[in-house]
Amino acid sequence: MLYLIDEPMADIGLRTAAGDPDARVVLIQDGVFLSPDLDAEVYAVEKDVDVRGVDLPDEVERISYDALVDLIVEQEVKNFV
Amino acid sequence: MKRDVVVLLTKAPYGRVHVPEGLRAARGVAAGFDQHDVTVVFTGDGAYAARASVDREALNMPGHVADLREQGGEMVVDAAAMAERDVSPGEIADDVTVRSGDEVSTLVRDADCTLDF
Repeated sequence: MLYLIDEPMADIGLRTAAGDPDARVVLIQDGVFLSPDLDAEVYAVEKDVDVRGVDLPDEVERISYDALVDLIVEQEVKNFV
Repeated sequence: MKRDVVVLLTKAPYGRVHVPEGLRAARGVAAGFDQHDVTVVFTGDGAYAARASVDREALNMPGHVADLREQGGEMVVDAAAMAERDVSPGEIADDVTVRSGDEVSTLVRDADCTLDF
């Protein structure tokens, strides 16, 4: 399952993703400021990263909006934006 | 087709319409033709709205809550959000159930659909 997470709902979003062994997390908008401690694939939307000048931790991978749309279409999404 | 729907109330109660409008949506979902199973979760700053001392009349809540319960809807509050905000279980209204942080995230993860306000 794909978890879209922005900063205001980060607490419940990350907590919900933490219990899912198949979670893939995408940090979006102000969510790119987060450094989640999760055993899951974590992505950050590159446009949101660039406009905010964020230095991503190594374990967080950049993803384009186009690639994110493909991910959203491919699987079930839990929205915390 | 009956679905499992979770409505997340994440905003503090006063000065904005998110809590009553979230409850209005929850009761609408519960009362619809399919009569979905609806759980309202007070989380984040929404935990403040689950307190007994909240003036529900001022928030236009009573009608929505009554209809929601009539349709079998449930209201729970996130204990993890309460702990972060020093809200004690004794402060919570009688018609709201306190659930642990893990129970709430499992509820959200297993839901067919989540709406947040």
